[in-house]
Amino acid sequence: MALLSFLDREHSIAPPGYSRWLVPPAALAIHLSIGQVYAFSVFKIPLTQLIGITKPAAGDWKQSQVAWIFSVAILILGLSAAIFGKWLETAGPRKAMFAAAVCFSAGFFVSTLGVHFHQLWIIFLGYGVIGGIGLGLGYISPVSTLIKWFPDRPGLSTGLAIMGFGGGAMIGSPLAVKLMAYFHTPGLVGVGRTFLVMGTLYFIFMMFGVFTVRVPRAGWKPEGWTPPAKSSVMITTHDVDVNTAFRTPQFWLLWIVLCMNVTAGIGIIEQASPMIQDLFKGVVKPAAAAGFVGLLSLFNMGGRFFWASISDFIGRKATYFIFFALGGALYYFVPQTGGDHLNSVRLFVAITCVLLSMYGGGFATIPAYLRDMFGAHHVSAIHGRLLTAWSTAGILGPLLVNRIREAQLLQGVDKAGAYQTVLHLMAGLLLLGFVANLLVRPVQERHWMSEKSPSSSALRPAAAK
Amino acid sequence: MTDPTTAPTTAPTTAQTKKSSPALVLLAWVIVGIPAAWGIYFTVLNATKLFTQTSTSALPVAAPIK
Repeated sequence: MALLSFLDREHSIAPPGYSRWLVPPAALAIHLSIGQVYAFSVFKIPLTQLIGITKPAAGDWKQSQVAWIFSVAILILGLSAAIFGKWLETAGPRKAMFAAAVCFSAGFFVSTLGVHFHQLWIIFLGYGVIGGIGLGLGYISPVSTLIKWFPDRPGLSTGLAIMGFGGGAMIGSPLAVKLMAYFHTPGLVGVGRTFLVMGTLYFIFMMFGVFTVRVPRAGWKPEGWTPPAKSSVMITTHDVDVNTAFRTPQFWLLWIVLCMNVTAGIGIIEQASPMIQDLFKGVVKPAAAAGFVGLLSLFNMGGRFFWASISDFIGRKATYFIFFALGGALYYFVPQTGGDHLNSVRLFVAITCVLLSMYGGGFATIPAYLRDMFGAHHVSAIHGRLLTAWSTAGILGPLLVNRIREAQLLQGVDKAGAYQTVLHLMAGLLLLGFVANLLVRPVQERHWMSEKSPSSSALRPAAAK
Repeated sequence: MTDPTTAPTTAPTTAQTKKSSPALVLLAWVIVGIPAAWGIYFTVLNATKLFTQTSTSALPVAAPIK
């Protein structure tokens, strides 16, 4: 369509003199928007009171039903990232970001209809499926572009964008709460209109990213930067096709690395509020526990930028070794900080904050790790397929945490003791991740693309560790 | 196979090169920075409850972390 030709890759090539520092804000506009998904829980209670208004009435949906909307959205995120990743590489970031904005906003608009007609399946279709496709496309769309603009600092650049995803909930949650309060009337909860406004606001905000993003010209490199003459064997100067990468042991080892890191992090996120209250009975009240959850989200977000940036200097493999070695030790130790042992709230909070920073860091460092292994040519598509590890962890993590904890409680173990078992299991999972990371080796020559990509093969990142 | 992200363009002369204005770059960061700062502000407000609403009478037996 000629009308939308401005979205084509050839129309988004940066003019000479275009500052690469305009690209991270473009990526952030997308990630700060789609990160709203992590704030979906604020709609849980209002969606169960659409008929009763102030409390659930007969015919209102149950919380257990509504909770599935988030799970569907995350599942579709992983699937769409895996499916559309290769299309994104040819279509370019602008078209992918536009498609992400349309889907994400349409998800809200369709959900408004679901609220209006009180049909849960419409919300599943809207926010879960259509919005979920927007999440997947939006999540991976800026990755390879950022890596190409920042060959000297791929970790920093992708860390910045993925930090936005962590921060998205911080905007989405108060925004939704304020809008629902504004639209609330004696006969209306205000969720439908909130969806409508949020869909519109996010679309406008994401359009800023769409119009700002540019891809670098052929042979472009940062001013004054020359690719290092000799870099680590762990950083390839070749490209691997996404379909070939999918069949290499490196892909699956990194899949395990991400899956273990995320599963362990979910071990804390899933039970943060009750855990701190149970470990410090009578000391930490629900309001303080909510503050603890807020603090964790700050470290989750900050860790994304911090660890991904650090990885440019110490290398990706070393960064994950820190996550798995230090993380494993801290997970093992954290139950000792509880009321029955050291009884130190501060120590517990400090440790869990470090752990959550490494959880976020795991997400943000993986694109640069993939670039090191497979080159920049198909890195978004490969990243998209790797995100199935996230979807898996999203199911595996809560399942492990809840099942094991429930089984322990049924056996008569006290609440604090049950947390200890779960956290020790998470330490074990990180050990698995440590082994997988240890086994990561450079991709064999036979997997390289036959013809080198000038964009990536000519540019080598700085992390020669 | 060539990389479509980097379609060849004519090399610009120095006179043709127009650099992005620093004000434009700053504006782009402000556009994303304002909502981010707004969200972080609310989260920090929420997080302070951990320190203000924790029952101090029962606080750590162990020495505080310095």
